[in-house]
Amino acid sequence: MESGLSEIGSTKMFDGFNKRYKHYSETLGCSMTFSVYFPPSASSSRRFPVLYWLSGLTCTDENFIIKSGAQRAASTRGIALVVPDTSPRGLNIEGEADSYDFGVGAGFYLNATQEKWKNWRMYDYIVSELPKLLSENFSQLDTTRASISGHSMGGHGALTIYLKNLDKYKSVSAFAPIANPINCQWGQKAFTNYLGGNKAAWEEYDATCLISKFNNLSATILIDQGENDQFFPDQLLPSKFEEACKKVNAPLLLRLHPGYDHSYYFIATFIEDHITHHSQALKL
Amino acid sequence: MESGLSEIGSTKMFDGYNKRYKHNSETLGCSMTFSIYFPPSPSSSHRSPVLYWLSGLTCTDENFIIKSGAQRAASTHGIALVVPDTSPRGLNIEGEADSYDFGVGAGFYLNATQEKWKNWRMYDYVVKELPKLLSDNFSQLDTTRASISGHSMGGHGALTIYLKNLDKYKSVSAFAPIANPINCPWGQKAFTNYLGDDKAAWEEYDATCLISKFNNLSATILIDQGENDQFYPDQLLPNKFEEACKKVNAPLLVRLQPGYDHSYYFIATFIEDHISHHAQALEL
Repeated sequence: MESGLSEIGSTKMFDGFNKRYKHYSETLGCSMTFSVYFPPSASSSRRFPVLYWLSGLTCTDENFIIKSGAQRAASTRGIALVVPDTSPRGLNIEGEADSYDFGVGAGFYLNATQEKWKNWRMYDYIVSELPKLLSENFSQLDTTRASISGHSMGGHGALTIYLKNLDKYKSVSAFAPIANPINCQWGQKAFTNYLGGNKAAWEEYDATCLISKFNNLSATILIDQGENDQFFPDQLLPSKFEEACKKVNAPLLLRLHPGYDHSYYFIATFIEDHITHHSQALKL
Repeated sequence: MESGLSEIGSTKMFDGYNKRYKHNSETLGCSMTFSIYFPPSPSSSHRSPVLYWLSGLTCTDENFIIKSGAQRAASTHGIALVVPDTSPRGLNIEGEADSYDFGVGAGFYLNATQEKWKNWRMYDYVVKELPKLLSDNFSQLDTTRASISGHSMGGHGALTIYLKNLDKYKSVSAFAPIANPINCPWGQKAFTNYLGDDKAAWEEYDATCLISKFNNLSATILIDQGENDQFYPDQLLPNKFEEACKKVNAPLLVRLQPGYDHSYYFIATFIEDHISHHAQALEL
């Protein structure tokens, strides 16, 4: 294994393995952990496509592995799950842990432009550094066949990263994404602090704005949203994204689910549908 | 709802609901929480059979609900999951929280005879108080059709409770159970402190001893055991239980699972098999 990357955990699940790794990130300037679920393989030369999962506010790389039950469908379909953390850690920037919705555990999958938060480059970490690290260290992963998904802030991350990198991902899906951050409190707080007052910079990280520019999609966007979600609609605004998709004829399937909330119980219930969605795009 | 019983949480999952309750336990002399997964119901008069799940050392009533993914199969089969806590809490008995394997979170599903631990009556709580509370308060549960399962210390609990109450449960299963507590450090520590030195009293709570007395079983006992489990074999001793079953021709299926450890990832992998096992015995 390349120097700096070490395996820090391994457990068998659904015939494959949850593995956890630690490495030093050049992009973020700190040590980072990430998790990978490797599906079972009959041969050592088999290479698996990758589904990146981006988690929401307050999460680490562990929550999805522990709570989602996604490994069941990932095992059946032969898709590897790659789960990064949600922000740089350990940098001890003043104020970084003051609130649950900004700073540590709240990286918003962007490259900050404000000097204080210059290490907050989760966009580059996900789009550039992590895939390169995977392809250099895991021959059993085929990073050229990748899709992306996520929850809440991670749903925002998945949508925006996908739209700006249509050549890199075959499909996207999201659970309760922050679909229009420039128009909700979470997004406004994050963008003000990470990106400053430049509204054009804000729009570069808003799926509802991006879809008008980048909409030559090869696959339908799948979004699941719980109707009993305490953050719906005001922090999430899927209707805004839906309107924007309609304007440019972008294929969107938005499913509203009565009774479901914002939790991992919601994710666990529908994750198999998302993995099926990505399997189709990844031609499995 | 009967006074003293209150609902403290509710989330939709796989079309049913995880609900959490709090009540004052007469048996234990303290406030207790327990969780129930209610599967989706075809009609308001429909009554679901019950699978009791007993958790292991350090767990509460929440771990299984969060980590097992059992709700998926429970929903499909129409079985309610009832998950009690693992010991009395809040009594502030001196030393009760000194170790992870005794006292709080380590009730061992017995009725203690030693004065200091007189509140530790998890056997009566699980066998008598909880079923009565359920039948008095939840018309959608049919407690006359019940099975029991558990993990580790909870596997010990499920096996011993089942064998001593063959009239009350249709089937039993266990994950990595402490199958012969009188012969392992965990069991010896617990029994010494809860039951004193009376070895005959110890045997009343040891499945390997009990099977020789109580073996007129209507269903096969299903046990899954990970071979990469750090506590196997010395704390768990399934081979001792297997020998004892053979002696009396009790139907047992022990499945050793290469590569699996003691964790909830192991439980999540095989829980569907266990629920199918119980569904058959419950005639679903």
